[in-house]
Amino acid sequence: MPPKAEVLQGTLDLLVLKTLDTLGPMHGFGIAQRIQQVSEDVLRLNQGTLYPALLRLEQRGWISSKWGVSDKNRNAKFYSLTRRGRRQLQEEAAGWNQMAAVINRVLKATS
Amino acid sequence: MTEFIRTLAARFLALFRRRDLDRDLDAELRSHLEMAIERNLAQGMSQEQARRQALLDFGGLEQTKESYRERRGLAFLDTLLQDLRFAFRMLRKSPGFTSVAVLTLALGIGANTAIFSLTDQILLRNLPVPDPERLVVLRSPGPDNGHCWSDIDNCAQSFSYPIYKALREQATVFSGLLAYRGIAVNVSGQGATQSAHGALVSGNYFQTLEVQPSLGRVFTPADETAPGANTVAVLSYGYWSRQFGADPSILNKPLLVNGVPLTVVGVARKGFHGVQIGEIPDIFIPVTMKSQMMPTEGLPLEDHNDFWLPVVGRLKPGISQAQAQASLQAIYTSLLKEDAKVRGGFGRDFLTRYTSKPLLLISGARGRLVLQSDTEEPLLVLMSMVGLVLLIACANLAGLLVARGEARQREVAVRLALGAGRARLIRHLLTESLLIAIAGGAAGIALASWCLNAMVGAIPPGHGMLGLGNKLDFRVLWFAIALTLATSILFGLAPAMRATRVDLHSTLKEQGSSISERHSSVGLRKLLIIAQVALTAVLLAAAGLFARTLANLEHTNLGVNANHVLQFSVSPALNSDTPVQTLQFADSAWLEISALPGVRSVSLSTIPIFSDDDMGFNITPQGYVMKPDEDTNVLATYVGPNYFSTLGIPLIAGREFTEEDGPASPKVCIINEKLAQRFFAGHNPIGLHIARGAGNNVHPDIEIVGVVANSKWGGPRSHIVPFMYMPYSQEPHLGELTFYVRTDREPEPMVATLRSAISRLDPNLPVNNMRALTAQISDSMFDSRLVATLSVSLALLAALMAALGLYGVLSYVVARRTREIGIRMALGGLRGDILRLVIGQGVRLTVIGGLIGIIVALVASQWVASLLYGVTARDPLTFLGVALLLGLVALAACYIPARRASHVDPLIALRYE
Repeated sequence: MPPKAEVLQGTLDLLVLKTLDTLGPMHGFGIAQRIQQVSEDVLRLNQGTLYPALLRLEQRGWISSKWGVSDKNRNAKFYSLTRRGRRQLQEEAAGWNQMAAVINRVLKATS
Repeated sequence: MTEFIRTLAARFLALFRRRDLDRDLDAELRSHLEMAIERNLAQGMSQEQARRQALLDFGGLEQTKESYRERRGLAFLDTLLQDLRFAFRMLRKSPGFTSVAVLTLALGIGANTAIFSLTDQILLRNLPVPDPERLVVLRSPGPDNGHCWSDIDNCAQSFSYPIYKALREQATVFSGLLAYRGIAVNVSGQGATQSAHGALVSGNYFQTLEVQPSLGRVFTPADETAPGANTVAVLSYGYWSRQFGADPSILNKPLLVNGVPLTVVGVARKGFHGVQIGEIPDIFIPVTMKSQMMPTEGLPLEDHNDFWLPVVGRLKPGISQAQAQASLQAIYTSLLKEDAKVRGGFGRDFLTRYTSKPLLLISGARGRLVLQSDTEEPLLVLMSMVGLVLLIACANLAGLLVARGEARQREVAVRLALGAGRARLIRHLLTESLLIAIAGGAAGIALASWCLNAMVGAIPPGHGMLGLGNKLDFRVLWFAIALTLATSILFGLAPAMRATRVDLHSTLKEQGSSISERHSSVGLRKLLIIAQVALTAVLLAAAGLFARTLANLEHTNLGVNANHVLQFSVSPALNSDTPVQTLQFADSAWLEISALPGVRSVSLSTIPIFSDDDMGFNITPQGYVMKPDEDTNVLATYVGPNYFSTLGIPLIAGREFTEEDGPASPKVCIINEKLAQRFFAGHNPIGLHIARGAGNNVHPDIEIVGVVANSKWGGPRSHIVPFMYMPYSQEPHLGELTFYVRTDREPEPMVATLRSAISRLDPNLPVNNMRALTAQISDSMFDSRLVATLSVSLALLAALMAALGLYGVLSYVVARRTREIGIRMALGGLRGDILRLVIGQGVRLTVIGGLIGIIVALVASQWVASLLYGVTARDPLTFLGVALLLGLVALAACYIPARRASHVDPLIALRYE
């Protein structure tokens, strides 16, 4: 099993936004699980760090939160993407793809 | 950008909803963990395992909360609020420490601010006019004859109108040269007749000072044309608001000033108070109105023999004081030569000395320094004393903070061990110090404004200290607060740094007892105590000297029995009464008041006793052989019948004046013993004669009809001088009259009766300064009393602080050494020995501090020698008293800790550790 990678600072925001875009309103635990599942457990997410990140996104107005009831009938705080958040996601995703493409090209050129 | 603002707003709002948000976060995290546990259970883990795994996946729960909180609010403000809350709680837990520290600071800051606010107004502030530093006051010291008026500087600052006018015309260094003179006037024409402060001013007065009108116009040189021709007046802003409700319709209306109708042409700018602090003119009048405004002075405006005008100039830009002085001297000398020619009759020798008088310029930025010359020294002494108190307060605070820092070492060690950050801990401790400093500052402001109000309120009327405000001077307030902040940071930080650097292991293990071995902080505290005791000794010495001075002044024999005597002054001449009318008024007032029930006797004097006024001249006594150039100056006043019996001055020989001594009867006088001894030693002076003035062709023509005991004139501090009394009926320029009424009961209730008696005689005559003679005497000692009262309170305060400091350090030492004391007692130490041990420590500190302080005081007291009366600057009794008092204070401060030490139960002490 390859060593687990730490989530890069800054990429966590993108991951959260994308997750919310895909799943719709979701609570913190759900978001953490989803990120780990999708990354097939390669990413090691310290679940605790998720909450300050959620707060940061909310303060910037990209996501909003509301208390609700989960499918297992449990009280939880649900986060959902705002319109500004969706725009931000597009920008960040585009930026990320561009960066990834550049890095790929660089890597190929040297090898 | 909007994101940034949005974030900031969210964070700021979060500061106020901490509790709600905390609960919210707790709930969210709980729900997260529950879901995680549920999932783990579903995956087949045991309850215990599921919980452990959930927490593991989550990472540090507390760290998350902390970083979440940091993210949520404004970290800096948030922790500051936390620190403040914590500091507040800690301070509330030790109310004794807190109140002593805050009180100490409040007193130090308050006293300094109050005294400085007063000092600044009197001594430091420039005149509120444009470019005050270009103003200069003219003075010309040297010999003179003729009639001279002076409020300072022995006539050197008084000029005759002709000389002033010639200087103004000929000098090229001034952009303006003004003359003015403060006088008392009676004002009527818009309501009842009232006394007011007038100022006779030159036409260019306002232009020179660059003072604008706030209504109408101010004077111009065109308002100074010829004697009696300029019937106009400018009101001061204060008088206009006070007296006329700031009504603009006063403009161009006539005011009856000393019976002369003057047209009000304007109101001077707000905040302009003339060129002399402590004197506020109400009404400005052209100098050409002199004869009308000063009816009793006699000499006309253009008289070369009358030196009565202070002169102030404004230097042209670019001309220095020295340049101006050099350029003026030649002009002035030639002016004096012409002046001497006009006046004539100068001897050759005198002429040379007169015409070689210098003309000097002194800075006029602060105006004419009349009030300053009297109050400078007391104010500086008070400033120094409050400065010392502030130092003591800081030393005290430092001691308290160091002690507290020590006492909290264990607490700090525990918190460090639990993982608290060092920076955060230091910040905690500092916040506490700052909180104390701020509280002290706030209390200090309140105290300062109360103090200043009390002081300004205590200034008696007629003390030349009008118009002093009770506004606090915030510069010194900030200075005092900055000083205490620095103190609290320094002495709050030092122990905090040390406390956080301790070796946790040893501090926690070894507990209190080991700390007594670290001497550094105890040493620091002892030094602070020594400094405090030394400063206190200085203050106590000053207080002792000033208190004895006041006591001496109060018990000094004035030669006058002032009890049950009421005084009041009237100036019929200012209502344009002629001297003959004034004389008639005086006679009938004397009769009218004599007939009032409750009046034992009544008399009057043309110059009030125990005021700053006096009148003097040279005399030629019959049969006295004068040495060449001998100064035969005596003081004199005109009095009425029964003057000496009314004031309780014993008649030694001859008789008092009676109603028979009229204007036409032979000239008579009564002399005091001092005059008799000096000029008639060995002879009976009764029946001999005296002449006013000196010279070859003066023939003694005033018969001595009585000799009275010596009495003081100006006040308790004045010396007994030769004194000559004459009947008021024989005064050709009778003007102001001051009545003295001896009653057979408490005098105050007579006030209304007397007022109505006077208004029956002349309803338009203002009655001034109606009060008990004892109050007048007491007011003449106002500055001595202020200095004594303040210095005694400050010194007692200092002693109290020193006692608290001593008590604190000894209690601390005893507490630290409880175990050692216990062992000593267990080994058979006697209670008395322990008592001696602790008291000995305190006494040692006191003796060292006290000795230093007393030596300093012995040196410094020379500086205040001129303020003392009846006690020398090194009065042994005072210094002995200081030593004794310090000793008593020290013993009292030591006693409680010493008793506590001597009652240590060895068993408990050893087990307790």
